[in-house]
Order: sequence, then C-alpha cells, then structure tokens
Amino acid sequence: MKKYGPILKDGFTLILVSTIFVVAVNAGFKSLKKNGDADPLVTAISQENLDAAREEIGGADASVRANRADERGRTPLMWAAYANFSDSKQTGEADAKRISFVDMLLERGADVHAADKDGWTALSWAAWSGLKQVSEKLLSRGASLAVVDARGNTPLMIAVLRGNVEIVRLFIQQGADTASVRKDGKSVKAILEAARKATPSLEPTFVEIQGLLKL
Amino acid sequence: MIAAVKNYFSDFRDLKTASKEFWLVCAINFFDSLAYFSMITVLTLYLTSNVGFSDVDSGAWVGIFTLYITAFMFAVGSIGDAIGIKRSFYLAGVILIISRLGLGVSPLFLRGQALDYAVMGFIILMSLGSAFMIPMVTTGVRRFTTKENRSTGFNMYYLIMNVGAIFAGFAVTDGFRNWLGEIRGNMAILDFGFVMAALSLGCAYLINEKNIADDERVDEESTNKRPLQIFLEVWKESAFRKLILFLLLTIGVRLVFTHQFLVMPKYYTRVLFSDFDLGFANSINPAIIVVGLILLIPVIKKFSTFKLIVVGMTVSALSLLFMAVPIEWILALPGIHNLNQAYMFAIFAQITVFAFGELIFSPRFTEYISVVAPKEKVASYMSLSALPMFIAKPINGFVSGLLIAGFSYEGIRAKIDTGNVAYQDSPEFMWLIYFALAALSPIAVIAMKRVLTSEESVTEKSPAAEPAGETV
Repeated sequence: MKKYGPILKDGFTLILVSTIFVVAVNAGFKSLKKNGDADPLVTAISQENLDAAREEIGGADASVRANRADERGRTPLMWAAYANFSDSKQTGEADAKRISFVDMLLERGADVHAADKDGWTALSWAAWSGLKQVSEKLLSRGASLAVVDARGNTPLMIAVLRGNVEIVRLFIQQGADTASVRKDGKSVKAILEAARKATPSLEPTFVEIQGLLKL
Repeated sequence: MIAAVKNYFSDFRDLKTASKEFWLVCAINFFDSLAYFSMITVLTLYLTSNVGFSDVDSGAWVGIFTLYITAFMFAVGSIGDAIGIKRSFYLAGVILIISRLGLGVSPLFLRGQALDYAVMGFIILMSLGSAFMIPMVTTGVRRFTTKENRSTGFNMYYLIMNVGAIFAGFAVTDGFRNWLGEIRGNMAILDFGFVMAALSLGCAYLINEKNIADDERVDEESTNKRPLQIFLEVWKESAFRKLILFLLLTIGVRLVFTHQFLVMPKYYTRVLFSDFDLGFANSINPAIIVVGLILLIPVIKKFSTFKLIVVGMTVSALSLLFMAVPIEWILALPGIHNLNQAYMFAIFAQITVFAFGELIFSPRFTEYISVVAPKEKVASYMSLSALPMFIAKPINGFVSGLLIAGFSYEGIRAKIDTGNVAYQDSPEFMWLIYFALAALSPIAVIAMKRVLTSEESVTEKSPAAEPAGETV
C-alpha cells in the first residue's frame, strides 16, 4: 500500500484539478449557451421512437408541448417533417415512419401553420425532405401551399429545386401556384432550369417535373 | 519511389527475432485502434442522436473525454510501473469492456436524466481505460524489443495504429452505419469496441511479462518519478518555459486535428446528408500518413526542424481555407455543378492538404522537444509536453459545440439550398474562425523565433521513431 499511496494521491490531485477545470470552463461558456438543452421530444422523433415521443409529450399540456419551438423557431412537427438522405429508399422508409409522429403531434394540437425564423412551415420541410406521406397529411390538415419564406420560396419551389417529383405532383394536384416568383425575381421555371443545370444526372426527373408544371 | 518503399519494409526484417509478446502487443494495438478510432468518429453524433445531448454538450463531453485521457495518462505511467504491464492491460481491458458496453446499450434501457448521467459516467470510465491502454502499448513495444530492433518496432507500432485508423473509418464506421442506420449503427460501433477490448484482454492473457527483450533498464531518469514531482522540478528551467511557450503558440494548428472528430462528423452529415460515408472521409488522413511515412519522411528529414514545423503548420492552417471560402467560389470552379460536389471538393481538398502539412510538422514536434531539452531531461520534457493540449482540449470541445450549434446546425443544408443562409451565418464562416485560430500558430512562431531559439540551436536530430499523426 505504501507503494501505491503517492501514486493514488497524484491521480486524485490530477482528477480534482481536471474536474475543477472542466467545471470552470463550463461556467465560463454557460452564458454563451442560448437555449442550450436539446428537446427530448425531438430526440425521440429523430430516433423514430414513438413510445418515447408519446411519453414525452404527456397528456395535460400536450398542445403547449407539441408547439414548443427551439431557438430557430422549429417545432417538433417541423422536425418530424425533416429528413436528409441521399438515398430515396431511406427517404421512403423515413416517410413511412414519420407519419405516425405527425399524426400524434397533430392530434395533440400541433400548429400546422407555425413557421420558423426563416418562414418555413412543416410543409416546407417535408417538401425539401421529399416526405410524400407527411406532405399529404399536412395538406389534409390545412397546411398552406401559398406560404413563402424569407426569400420568397414556396413549398412548390423547394420541392422543384430538390427534384422531389412526387411532392411536385402532389402540390400541383392540390392547386399550388406555378406562376409565383421569388423575391430575387426567379420564377418556378428559372428554379427548375438552375436545378437541371446543377444536377444533369437527374435529367429524367426534371423532365417529368417540367411536364407536371406544364412549362 | 520503389526504392523508398523497399527500404521502409526491409527494416521490418529486424523484427524476425521479436518475441511472441511483441506481436501480441501489436495485436492489442490493432484491436484498440479499430475500436478507438471508430468510436471517436461517431462519439459526438452518438451523444446528440442517441443520447439527446445538445450540440454544445456533445462537443463539451468529447472535449472532457480527451481531457480526462490526458489527466489519467499522467498518473497511469507510475501505476503501470507498480503493477506490471500484464495487470495494466487487464485493467485497461476490463475498464474498456464495461465502459464501451455501457455506452453501447444504455440508450436501449435508460431515458432522460438517468441516461445522461450513465453516459457521462461511462465516458469518464472509458477515458480511464484509454489512458491505461495507450501508454501500455508503447511500454509493451519498448519492453519486448531489443536495442537493435526497437526503432523498427516503433515503426511497426505507428504503421499498425494508422492502418487500424484506416479500417476503423471505412470498414467499421461506415459498415455499421450503412448496415444498421445512424441510430443503431452508432450503438453497434460502441459494442464493436467492447468486442475489441475483450480480444485485447485475450491477447494480454497470453503475454509473459517476464520475457523482457533487454535486461538493462530502457527507461530514462524520470521513470520512477511521479508526474507532479517532474513538473515541479522542470518548471524552474527557462528551456522548459520556452518549450511551453512554443507548444502554446502551436495549439491553434494542432487542434485542427481534433476537428476531425469534434466538428467534421456533424459538418459532413449536415451540409451533405445523414448517410454520408464519414468513416471513409476520416480514413483519408491516416492513409496519407501511412503513404507519407514511407515516401516523404526520408526526403524531408534533410531540412531544418524549425523550418519544417513552420512550413507544415502553414500548410495545415491554409488547408482550412478550402472550407472557409464562400461556397459560391467553389461552385464557380470548372467541373463543379452543384452544392454536393462543391462541399465534397472542399472537404477532400482540406483533408488531403492538412494531412500533408501534418506529415511535415507532427513528427518534428518530438524532435524539437528532444533538441531543446537538456540531455538528461528529455523524458521529463516529453512527458509534460502534453500540458498545453490538456488545457486546450476541453476549451476546444466547448467552442466546437458552440460553433456547430451556431453555424452547422441540423437542417442548415435546406436553408443553404434556398438561399436563406448568409456567409456570416454559414458553415464556411465557422471554418474561417478556425482558420484564423490556426493561422495564428505559424505567424506567432515566426514572430517569436528569436525568443524560442535564443539558447539552443535547433538543428537536425533523428527522432526516436516518432509518430506522424496524433490521437485526440
């Protein structure tokens, strides 16, 4: 034990110094953390854990909880309408799973018209993400296709620039305005042409979108 | 070039006479590298996606993890000497088995604060395991090689570590994430680490620690001294204070290496896509290091240490410019048509150029320390050279979390696509901040050259089998 005593003393000193240092650094940075904690409901949605999401949203103040926005103004419904996969198969799987979360949130009073700080609604996020079933559900609950973000993008424009042909088809069927123009003067047609030029590999998709838009 | 490759590998013939124990230590090194590099690549993603930590807290906890590794490493050298290499490996293996398994399965059984505290506990425990494992592997290499083949033994050690890092990226990290998806993939990577720790334990069981290659003591004068004792002794020396100043000045650029694990995983998956092969991207650095060790090191050894440090740091700092310039500039390059291509170009250009810079300056650090330290105190100076990084790592963890939360948040790509993100709010601006920090290093070293080199002439001196590349 005599042999280990000084070593343990040194080890304890180092751990103590490290811990004091970490606590001090944390305190120093605390003022810089704005709304720092992650929302467990959003975590449950990202993990596609419906039970955890139900438990988190609770019963009494469910509506308030379902509409609690983060520092960028994004609500849980917007998070449920967001996915970012390069692969259409994974996007389709996410769409099929997320629909249960969207249903649950809407049942508990999530506002389908809520917009984040850039003016994006849940429908804008679903349009970008390529989540068709989620988009259908949001539209069936009154989500607006006429909403524009800070730059003047409509959900239709967002779906066009991403080449999400099924979403474009859905929006056209639901009466989206194909003549709208962005704040920088770009029309839906101009957005389509730019996207086409940027991604020649998606040419067949853009040809189909062009047909749907009747341009 | 062929001659360089032949020359490099012909040295390994020296290891024909190496004992079974040396190769068992090499096996432990390989298993631990696979586990460590795959785990550290996804740790920040795991903390956010699986545990529910915010970006700030995830960055902070990765920083805390690396801080505790450094802190524990100061102490475990003495413990290792006291209890022996085999028991130290057992201790490291058992701690890593418990902590990695704990991290791998906790999100399945726990939620809320219980999960948060369990994960924090397992992270600190894992840092203790890594702090035992890393120095014990180098001690093992030293102990189970002779004076004649020790240098080649260390070359083999660094080769295996880097090869482990390469496989950890594209095979382990991408393999599990592509197979099981992000959430289950992250947990499987930690469980894989548990299996690797168990294999290491099996190798340790087979080691005969009495089979020491040389009878003479290979360690230098500080072996029997405790770290705090060493620190109190050398702090009074002006050469040591100059060394600390030098190391502090170079922190900015050396921290870029830690971005590979702190910042890059979230940056990749947010500016590109969630299913991006981040392991492959992180494999590029060790792959370049392996090739560079063979081809470049013999050539650049001819130049002065100080110049190489400055040139290497400048190249590494400049590499960040690829990701710091407005993305429209990259889009204007011929052959680049869309944002995905632009970001991929910026990322791979940065990784490649940084690795070349690192290859030039990283091995020179130990060389520099061995040159400026009084002859009889090289080991003391070496053991304390981690001190500035010890202070910088947790700060870097917090800063990286804040910058990620501010400039590379989840969903930012959607806003970039639609023109909603100005340069000053973009991930490029985050890299500009990092570039400014990194660029300070070579500028400061040049400005302070007179102070840093006033007493000692920094000339060429062959390093004792020094690694190119760092662990976090």
